[in-house]
Amino acid sequence: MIETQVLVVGGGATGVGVARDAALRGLRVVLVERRDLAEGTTGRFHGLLHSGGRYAVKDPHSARECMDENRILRRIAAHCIEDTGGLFVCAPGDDPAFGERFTAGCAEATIPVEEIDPAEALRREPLLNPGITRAFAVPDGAIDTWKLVGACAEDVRRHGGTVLTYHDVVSVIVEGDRVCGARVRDTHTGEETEVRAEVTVSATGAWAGHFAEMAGCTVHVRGGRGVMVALNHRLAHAVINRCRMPGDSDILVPAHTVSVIGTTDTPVEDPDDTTIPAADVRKLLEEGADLVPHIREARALRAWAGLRPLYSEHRNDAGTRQMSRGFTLLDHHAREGVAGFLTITGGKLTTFRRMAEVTVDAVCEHLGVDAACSTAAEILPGSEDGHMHTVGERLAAREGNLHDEQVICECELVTRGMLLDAAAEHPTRNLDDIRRAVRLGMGPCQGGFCIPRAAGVLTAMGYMDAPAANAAVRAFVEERWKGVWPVLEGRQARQSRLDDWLFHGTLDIDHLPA
Amino acid sequence: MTRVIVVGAGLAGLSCALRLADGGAPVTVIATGAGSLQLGGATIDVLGYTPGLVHRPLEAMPGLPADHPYTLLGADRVAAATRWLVERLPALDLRGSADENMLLASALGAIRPTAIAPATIAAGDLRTAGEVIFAGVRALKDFVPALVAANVAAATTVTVTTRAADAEVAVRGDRDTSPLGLARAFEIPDERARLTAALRQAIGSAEGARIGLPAVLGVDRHAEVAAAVSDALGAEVFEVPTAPPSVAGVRLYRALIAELRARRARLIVGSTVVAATLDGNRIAGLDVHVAGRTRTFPAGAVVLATGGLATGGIVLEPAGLREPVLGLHVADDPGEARYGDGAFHEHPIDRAGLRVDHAMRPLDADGDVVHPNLHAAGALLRGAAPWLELSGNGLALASGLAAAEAVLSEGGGGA
Amino acid sequence: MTVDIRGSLDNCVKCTVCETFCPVMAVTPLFPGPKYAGPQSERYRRPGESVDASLDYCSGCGICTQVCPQGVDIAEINARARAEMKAARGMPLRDRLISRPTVLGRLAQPVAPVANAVTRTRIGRRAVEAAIGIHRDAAIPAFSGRTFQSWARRHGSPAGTTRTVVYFHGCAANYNEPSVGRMAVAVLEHNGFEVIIPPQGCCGLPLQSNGAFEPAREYTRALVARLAPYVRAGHMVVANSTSCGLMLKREAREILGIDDPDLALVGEHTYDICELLRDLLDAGDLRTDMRPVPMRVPYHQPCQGRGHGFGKPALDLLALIPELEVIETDRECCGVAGTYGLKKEKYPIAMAVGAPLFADIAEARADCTACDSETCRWHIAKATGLPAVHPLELLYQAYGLGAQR
Repeated sequence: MIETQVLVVGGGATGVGVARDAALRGLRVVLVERRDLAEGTTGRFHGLLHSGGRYAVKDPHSARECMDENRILRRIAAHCIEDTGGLFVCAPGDDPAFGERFTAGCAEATIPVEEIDPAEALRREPLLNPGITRAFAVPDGAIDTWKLVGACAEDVRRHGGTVLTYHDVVSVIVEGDRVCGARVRDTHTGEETEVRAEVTVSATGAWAGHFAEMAGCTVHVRGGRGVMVALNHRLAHAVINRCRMPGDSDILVPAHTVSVIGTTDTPVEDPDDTTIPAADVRKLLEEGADLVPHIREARALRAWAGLRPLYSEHRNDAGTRQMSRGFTLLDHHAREGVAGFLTITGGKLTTFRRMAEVTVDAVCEHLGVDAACSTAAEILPGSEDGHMHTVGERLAAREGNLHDEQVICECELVTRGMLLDAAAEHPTRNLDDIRRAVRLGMGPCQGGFCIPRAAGVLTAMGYMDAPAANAAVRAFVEERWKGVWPVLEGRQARQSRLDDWLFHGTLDIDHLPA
Repeated sequence: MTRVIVVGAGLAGLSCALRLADGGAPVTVIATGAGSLQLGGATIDVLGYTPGLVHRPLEAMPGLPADHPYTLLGADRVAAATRWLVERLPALDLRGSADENMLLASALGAIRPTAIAPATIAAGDLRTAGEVIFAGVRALKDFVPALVAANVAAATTVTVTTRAADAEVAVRGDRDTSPLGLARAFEIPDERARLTAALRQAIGSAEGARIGLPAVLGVDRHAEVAAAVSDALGAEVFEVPTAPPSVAGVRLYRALIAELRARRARLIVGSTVVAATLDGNRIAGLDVHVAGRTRTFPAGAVVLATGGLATGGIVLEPAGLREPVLGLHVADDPGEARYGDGAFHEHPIDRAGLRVDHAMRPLDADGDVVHPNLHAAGALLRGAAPWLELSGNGLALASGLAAAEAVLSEGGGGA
Repeated sequence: MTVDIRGSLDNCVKCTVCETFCPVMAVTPLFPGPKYAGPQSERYRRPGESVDASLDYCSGCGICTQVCPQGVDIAEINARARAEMKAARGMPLRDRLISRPTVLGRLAQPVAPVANAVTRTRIGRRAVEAAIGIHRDAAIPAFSGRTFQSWARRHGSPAGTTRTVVYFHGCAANYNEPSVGRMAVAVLEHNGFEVIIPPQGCCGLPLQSNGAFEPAREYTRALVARLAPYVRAGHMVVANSTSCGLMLKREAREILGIDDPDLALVGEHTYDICELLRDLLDAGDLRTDMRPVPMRVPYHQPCQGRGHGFGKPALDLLALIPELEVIETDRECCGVAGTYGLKKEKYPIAMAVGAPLFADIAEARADCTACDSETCRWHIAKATGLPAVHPLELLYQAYGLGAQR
């Protein structure tokens, strides 16, 4: 049994943000996540660090909040961010007059905005639609959520907190009218443990309704499924947004080596429903071409879907602190008379720190602790030197170790050292977790060349035995397939068939010992 | 005498061209690139799974579906084609026959059936019991002896004992090398001495055992390197084909190209055929993108051997499957329902391809011959799933030779 | 028509066929290879940032693009990235000099005996190496005292021609080997061509391969302006330098990114001399009355010759010559790659790349070597100690044209 002050359920950005905030305030905290960190919605988004421009007209409050947090994150999480800048462009047919509303909204939200000549925008980003009529530069950025969540978790550990991945909640401990923690199961060993806590925070995103039910409470959260597609290389080095009311297929984000086009929005009942309808993929590529026509010819690598948690109760319900239109903190004591239990849901990645701050303020109130939030000032592990990442940094690093280090994943320049470090940090030895940690197998060949290598190296170095290596290769291929088949046309179909040839024909993985 | 143009430089195209050249036809090979042999292990897989393990490929052929290319070709033609290759490329020292499969280790240690392989690879036939030591160098990340040895030991289809040896040695000063880089290092005497010394140390006593190395024992001077390494290690060595760049595949490609050069075939690598010029429904020439322009190469007969989906012989577009050179009808296109669930199953799209007649001439949707002097071979053909059946090179050879015979019998060579 | 070079990286399926052919990667670990430097690294590049200096070891031979089965413009991606690198890091004086053959030619031609004397001495070459980094053993051509152009101005066309062709002779024929130019004219005239020789300058290729794109474009545009009026008037252009001809056909468009209808027009109507003569042969229109040339000659097609995509037309032509024993070499590259092998730090690589070819030539106990490209010929001749000739020189001899003059 583990005793703690705060139990955080959910290892997405919100959960690790809450855990970090609590740990920094000196609270004892345990975070449990049923799979790997950032495996849910957090890891399934486009990677945009909002300037707030997207909400400048529709929701100035959210816009302001985004810009404030954008400034903070550039300071505390520099290494997770690429300072790409962003452009809002009026595509042919869009109302150019929206530009005035846009700049006015930006001014109100303190977002620095500069209108630039379309010719200048095209000089900066040659693949932009040459028919754009207006362009505005804003401080959008790209953010690596896996790095961000990893750094927050590391900070939790450094401040005495505990992060338990692959620990599924089997039941919530309810004593009288009080939630006293949860019973969790290590999904690898099957071992169950009680985590007793004074306050339990559900940071389970779209799963908040399911979790609340386990505690005998009710939370109405729906999932808004967003589909995104990664394109093989960067079609633009800045974030490209469409200057209009936010809609589908109007963001193109440079995420490391790829461009991500997003997104769609479909309400779904089951939060685990990450189906990728072919129609969504087609729509993204067709409409995205209004921004960057080359998207039509570009090679799509992979698609994925993430579930936005959409809180759908009336904002004046008892106990609902609608801290902004972006996110919602529910105190179940005020709502349903269940003490020691908070739900934080909704929101967006850019504002995860602010969400955590508000949540932990409430936690402190419950605990009667007087401690101020310091997450806006404390630098995250890895960001000490203040360097933001650049697309060329792995290539530059590789230039320095061409002959001394082995590259395992050639597409994403993952070295043997990076692989082994990630394996040491992920005792699960799950190649998909290692993928998220270091981008293993995320390039054009989608693991065709590097996954057998990685399994071999991990076997040779004693991280797994042969049966585990065989299973890991098969599991990775199976998992990748889910995101690959919806985009399997053109060049990616060719790649996939070559990978088939390697995996099945040359290596014959179908006939490895079970 | 009008030239025969073979489009494609994989096993189907090159063996077809060589058979044509041997038969006296003036041949031009035109290919977008240098083919695909460098991607495979130079093993002639005739038929490995149906889906159970096949021990005798020719005997298993009558059980194949009616629209499988082997059914069209017949086991006799397959047997003759494989014999032809073995005899035609003596320098490669190919062993085995389509009568029975040997069982080889893959670079991950799966037990892989194949019919014919170069001697140094065939020496790894695991139907022979005994001790096998899998050995490699750490700088080569594509072959991890520990994994191969453990998987082979755990296999139920063979009974060998195994152990692994991993040599920690830089390859020409590099800690990161490819199979090709390692093979080139083995051709440099000093490097070879360093490598074999490190291997010997890692292996220890190899008394009575076979040593399985990745297929890196030299490129151009393979025989010399293999003998020297075997001497230095004091045991019989064999090679395990690797992921690309496959050195064994490079050797096969070079052997075929050398024979074609000797036969004065014209080789045009790096140009793409984009269309045909017709004379009635006969092909009179092929339009080819060359530097600066598209030009027409006159052709008396054409063999299309551009490969399947993996190499661009067939492309998948939103509207469906397309044969991009001549717009030929792709049979068995499943439409939108292309893929089933899961990565490890056969998908509805897998066996789509060109339907051909007995002379390997592509047929249109109505089953009529499209052009009387157009033939097709290799992975373009419908009905097979070579990477699942392990039938790719057997199909390429047999259909490539069948196309060549058809052209020759029609007087395409004029000889 | 603009060519989407960067976008072609999407065609890469990582198959490594390019690596199995790259001649530089085969001999030195300093170059991490075409797949790495091309489609792979390009995903990490952005304008104005150049972080991978190893790219400079690419010789630009172009073999990777030719052998790529998937249609990735590997060499072109690399060439553009090298230009970015040069733009970011600057270009050494040496590279600026050796990439301007017309400037060198104009400077050296009036003082050819002196220039040649200096570059023929060991001490002179050491001084040149120390001063600007041209390797002391690299083959550098002698300068002719009289340019090809000055000969051409006085050359009258023979009577009885039935067709016309514009001769793009290139810098080498003008300043270094006017005899090759004269033989080209003679062979063409022998086959009934009236040969038009307009004044012309450099195609810009050496500048391009050294990463100086803007000055290269100026040269290319000036040359195209000279040639385009003839093409519009219905003449075709013939070149005997495979690399300069390829520049007009393809590279100026694909590497320099010149999007100009005149360039496309000139490129479309430019023929390599062996290509043109083989087309005549295939059409039954080439004179085949040849006398024996009893020699043993290895033929090496330059990398840039393969870039034309026409196979090896020289082999078909040389096969017509009685008693000429031609040995087709099966080597990718001689190593020099234009100006690459001149450079002090790259000369040893160039020699290592060429070593198998030089060994084949030595083993053949040949009388001379045949090769279409001048820089390759100079390099091969220096390395083997045997003369190296353009295939058209052998045709010239077989036609007995030397005897007539």
